[in-house]
Amino acid sequence: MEFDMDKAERTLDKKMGQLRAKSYISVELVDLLDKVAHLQLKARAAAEITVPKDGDLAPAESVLQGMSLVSKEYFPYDVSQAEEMLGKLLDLLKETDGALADAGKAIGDEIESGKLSAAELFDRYLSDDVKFFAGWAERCQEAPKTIAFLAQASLSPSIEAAAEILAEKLPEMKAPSVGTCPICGSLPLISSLKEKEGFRHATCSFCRHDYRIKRLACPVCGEEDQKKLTFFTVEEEPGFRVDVCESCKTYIKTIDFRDLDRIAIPVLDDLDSLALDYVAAGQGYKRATLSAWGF
Amino acid sequence: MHTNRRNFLKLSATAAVATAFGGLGLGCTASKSQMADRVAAMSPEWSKQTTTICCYCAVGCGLVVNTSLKDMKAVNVEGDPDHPVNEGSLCAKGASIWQLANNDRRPDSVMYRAPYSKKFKKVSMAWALERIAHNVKKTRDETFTRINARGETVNRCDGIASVGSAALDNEECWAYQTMLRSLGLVYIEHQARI
Amino acid sequence: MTNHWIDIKNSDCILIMGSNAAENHPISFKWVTKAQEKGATVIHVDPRFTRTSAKADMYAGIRSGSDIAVLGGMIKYILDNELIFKDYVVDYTNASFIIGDNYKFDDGIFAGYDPETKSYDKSKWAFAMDSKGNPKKDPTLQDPKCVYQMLKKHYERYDLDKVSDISGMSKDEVIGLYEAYCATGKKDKAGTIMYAMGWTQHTVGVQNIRSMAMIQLLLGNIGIAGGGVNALRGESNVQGSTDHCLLFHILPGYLKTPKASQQTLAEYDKAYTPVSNDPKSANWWSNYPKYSASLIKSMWQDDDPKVAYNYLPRLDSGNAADYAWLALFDKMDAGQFKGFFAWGMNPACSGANSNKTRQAMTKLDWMVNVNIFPNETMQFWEGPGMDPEKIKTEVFFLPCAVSIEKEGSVTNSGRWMQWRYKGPDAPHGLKPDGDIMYEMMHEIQKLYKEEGGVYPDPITKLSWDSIATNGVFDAHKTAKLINGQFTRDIEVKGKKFKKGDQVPSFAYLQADGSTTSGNWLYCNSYTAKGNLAARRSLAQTEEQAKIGLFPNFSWCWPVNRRILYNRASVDLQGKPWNPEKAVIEWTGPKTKWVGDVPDGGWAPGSKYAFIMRKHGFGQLFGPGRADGPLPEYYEPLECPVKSHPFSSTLHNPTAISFADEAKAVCDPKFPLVGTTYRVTEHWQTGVMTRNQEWLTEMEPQVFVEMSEELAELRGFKNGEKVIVTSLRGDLWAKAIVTKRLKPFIVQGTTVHLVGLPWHFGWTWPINEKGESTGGDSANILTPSVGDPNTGIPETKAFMVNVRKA
Repeated sequence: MEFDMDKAERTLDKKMGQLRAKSYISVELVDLLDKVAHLQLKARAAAEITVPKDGDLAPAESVLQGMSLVSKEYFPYDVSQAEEMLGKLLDLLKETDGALADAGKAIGDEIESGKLSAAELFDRYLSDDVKFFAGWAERCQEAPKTIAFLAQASLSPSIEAAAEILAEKLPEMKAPSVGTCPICGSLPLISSLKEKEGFRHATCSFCRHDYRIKRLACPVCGEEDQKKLTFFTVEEEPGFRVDVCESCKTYIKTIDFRDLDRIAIPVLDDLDSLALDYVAAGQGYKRATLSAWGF
Repeated sequence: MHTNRRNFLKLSATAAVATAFGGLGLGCTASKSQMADRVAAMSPEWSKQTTTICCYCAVGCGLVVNTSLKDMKAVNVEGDPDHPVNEGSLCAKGASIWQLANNDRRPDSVMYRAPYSKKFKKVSMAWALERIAHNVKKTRDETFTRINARGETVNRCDGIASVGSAALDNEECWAYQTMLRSLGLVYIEHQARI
Repeated sequence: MTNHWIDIKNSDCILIMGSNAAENHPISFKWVTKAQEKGATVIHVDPRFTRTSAKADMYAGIRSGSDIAVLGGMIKYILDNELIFKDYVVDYTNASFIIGDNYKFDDGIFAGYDPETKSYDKSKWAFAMDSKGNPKKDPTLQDPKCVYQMLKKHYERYDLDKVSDISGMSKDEVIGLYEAYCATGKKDKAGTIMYAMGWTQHTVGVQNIRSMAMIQLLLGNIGIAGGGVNALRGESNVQGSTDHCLLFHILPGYLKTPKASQQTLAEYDKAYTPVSNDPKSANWWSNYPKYSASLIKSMWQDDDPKVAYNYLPRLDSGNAADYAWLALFDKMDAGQFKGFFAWGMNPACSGANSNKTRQAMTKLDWMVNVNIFPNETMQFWEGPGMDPEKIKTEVFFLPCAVSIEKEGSVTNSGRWMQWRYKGPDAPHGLKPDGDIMYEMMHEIQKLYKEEGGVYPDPITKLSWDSIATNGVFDAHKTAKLINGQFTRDIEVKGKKFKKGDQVPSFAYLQADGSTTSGNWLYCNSYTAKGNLAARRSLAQTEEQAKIGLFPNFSWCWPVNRRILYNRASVDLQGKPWNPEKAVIEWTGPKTKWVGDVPDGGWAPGSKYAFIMRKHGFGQLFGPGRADGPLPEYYEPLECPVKSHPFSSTLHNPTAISFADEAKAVCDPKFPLVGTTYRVTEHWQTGVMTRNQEWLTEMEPQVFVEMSEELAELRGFKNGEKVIVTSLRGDLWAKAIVTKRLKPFIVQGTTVHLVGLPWHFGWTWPINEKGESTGGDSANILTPSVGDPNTGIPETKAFMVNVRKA
């Protein structure tokens, strides 16, 4: 399918408008994401990607059993674009105030001084270097996820573009046995119910791939016992529900706009329904992933 | 698989601290923004989800039933998208099953019509079962055939007949045939015959 | 179904005959459409143009009840044009068997007919046997007495002219059907049949289906992906209720109900355990004694099965004419029964001849009706023409929970046993059927224990508490018992089991009381691995994915085999006839079979393919049926003709009927062929659907569909209220004048056909004045006549008239 940039921008602007209308969501956050999302949209269309040869991908039989096509560690991305994105994002952070600006400056300084290269940052991000990111979180306590945000947000456009190419290599799948992304193996950040049949889809927290998951299963731990899979809704957030798992005590929000005149952009609907994250936390459940921007 | 498992373990470790959109210090914490008031005003309505199979034709379509945990009534019933036969689709009947359960026409008690009476009256299940048991025993004892006309032992009850039912679950069908045959019934028929 | 719903997508030609699948099994069409998208031809043969016809590539109108003419003609077409799948026919069917000298067929009557009893001496149809006691065979198919040659002879009368003349199908339509369907007699082609009540509800119902089964055998379409003989069953658990045998003639797992002549378990087992002297015949029913003992042991666990055999009631005969539905209501009408259970059924509307059924109920002392809603059965005493003050029947109406409010399993048409979980609570404390029957029987048991009574042992010794936990019906416990358990520590096939362990599969069942199994066919469904019917995994191998097999979703009898007779899908070396759509494949002595669970794990060629048959072969010649070893054309018992072109025997000479009930044959008072059917929005007698506003809004009342030609002739207008009458009674209906029905030309004469749905009943829906607005059951019109094998009433072809209201 041809990517329609105009349409994508219009949809994005509309969604941003809706988010701004929610007074309880921080304006600074919406402003930042508005700019980042537009940057990413443009970058995505320009990303240059070489995906691994078919022989280097996990075989179809393994994918059907729950293995991902490629591992996150070796996920293809557009190196120069990501570096360029990183610079632009650091510039954006300069326009903010407080802890975020400070964190941005600290990271920017490190890169400028050559102590940290963009390539190294991306490598550490892709290989989930917990220690490295914990170290930075320690250094920037008021904005602990700034560095993860910079990495994920820089990588996102080309990763998303790569995922789109890789998606065509996937075998025909109904609802697979695991809830992780069939392309990169990451956990979903949100799920959606689609079409009149109510197919449940997940949006990958890393590559943003949209994939089928089981309607009645915890995508985090795989629990299928129906007694352990309940969900709640709140009157104030129509179109959303929160699916919880009593086995691993996590939750995942589920978008259900089937009866509403609304278009879903799952990564932003995640922010739209932020109140539900607090309700879920209040009920004693934890979220398995961060936002689509790495924070 | 190996890679996924590793990712999974790490991510669940982060789960313990994950608060999405909270990591940039942009005023999204519940304690100080308007968010706190909003969240406090929300009251979660809990539901459970169960899968079942449609009660009409024998295609055996899968359904997902959402039941409110507050009053244990069905909230809605929809096609099961993960059922390999119907893949979430339903016909007009299957799509209406919610109304089968939530229906004012469902009687609220056992109904009894006495011989020659012009109306039903409500009775308790216990009363009805006791009286039915009494009727069954009386009829069975009166009509039981130990030996047939040819002098063969047949041990059957020729005075009671039963029809039904393909609307019962397997376990109920088996239990029902066990009950009827232990009583000695041979006139046992149901929908499969018509 | 020998196959299953998803498998329809593998077909190259789908014949839908005797069914309106698109409207009555709507979701089946998901798979019909998938096949069609891949190039399959869909053919619909039906008296009425329906949504199924609209989706089909080819539609042909047929006069209801004349199917065997068309199918017999197809057999002739296959044989004349040598379209059989030769290797399959020789290796897997009894085409080569030599028929014994006593067999004869003359003018519509087979050898051994006794007009007095209206039955056959079936021994006259036996095969010729060799010195070892096995059927003589001629694999060259040249012997004039072999089945193949006898088929040719039998069906040589079924030429195109006769077929067209009696069925009302044009010759072009007949040829089009034959050409398209018979093209599936090739190795890499599959044809399937989707049929329903349009084939079973006839006095030749069994032979309708046998005709098609024979066609499928001749074309090599049984056991393969996209093939089979597929009954589209109409109720969510009618497969399960049949498997558990809520029927007079069979016990769970299709074991036979004991007969008076079988005074001991040994005599009973001997009568039903076939013996084959051919080592290549698996003759699976030779295991009969294991299944019968395990069933008896599951019911009476404290007794030796030999003793408890006496607790089972015995029949005087196995004849449907003596015990089946029609006989039951005839005897009720004659006053034989004092008590009656109508459990989850509404017989006042559902069976043929509703007025007779309703009248019969007035003869009862008491009736127990369990249902979701009030209905015409429990209210029969206040129905049309009834005077409550004169009706003695005591009525107990026990309302029950609906399906989503309880836990248990149901078995679909494709034999998938699927678990249902409990969703909401039932309102008003209503209970599931299982709880009601548990408590009822508990009460009866208590009475017999306290007071004694006539032959109390079967009741007092019944292991009734083995289906309950703490006095409450337990679906899991019951499902485990149906699967079966070991009753003592034992070693079977080199494996050790403890008392109470679940039996892994029916291969482990024993004849000595050391195992229980409430139904051997379901043994393997609830094992040490858990409740397999509840499985929801879509995992499959690549071979399984190719043909849409989901072995890890739910469970399927027998032993999770998804396509029956699948050993016939491969050649004698175990290679699939069609490697692109392999059901099973032999991969060598070490790795054995892959794909589906094979019909027995033996190496290819070492056992005959049809393991449930005594001799191991698919039966083109079927000497076990009540009305003949080969399907033969007969008119419905009510019909618009005096003769037909195949013989001078007008009707099935063995059909069930009651002499004192007149039939309309070429009766000018009832000149129209009548038939019944269903609509998507309602179900069966409508008890469940008529009570739902969403559905009654769409289909509010009974209607009668008629052709524009008939309407013109009689002056009926679309939407007008008319009266439909038969010899049994009459009812009003809204006239629907439609192009969907066309007059048939039968033997040069115009024959009109009208059709009605049978979902309505006088109790509901009603208007403010309490008057019925939906009308009454179309079964008021249908006759008490039925198939001699099954006893199923002929409710799809009967004679009526329509007049102005």
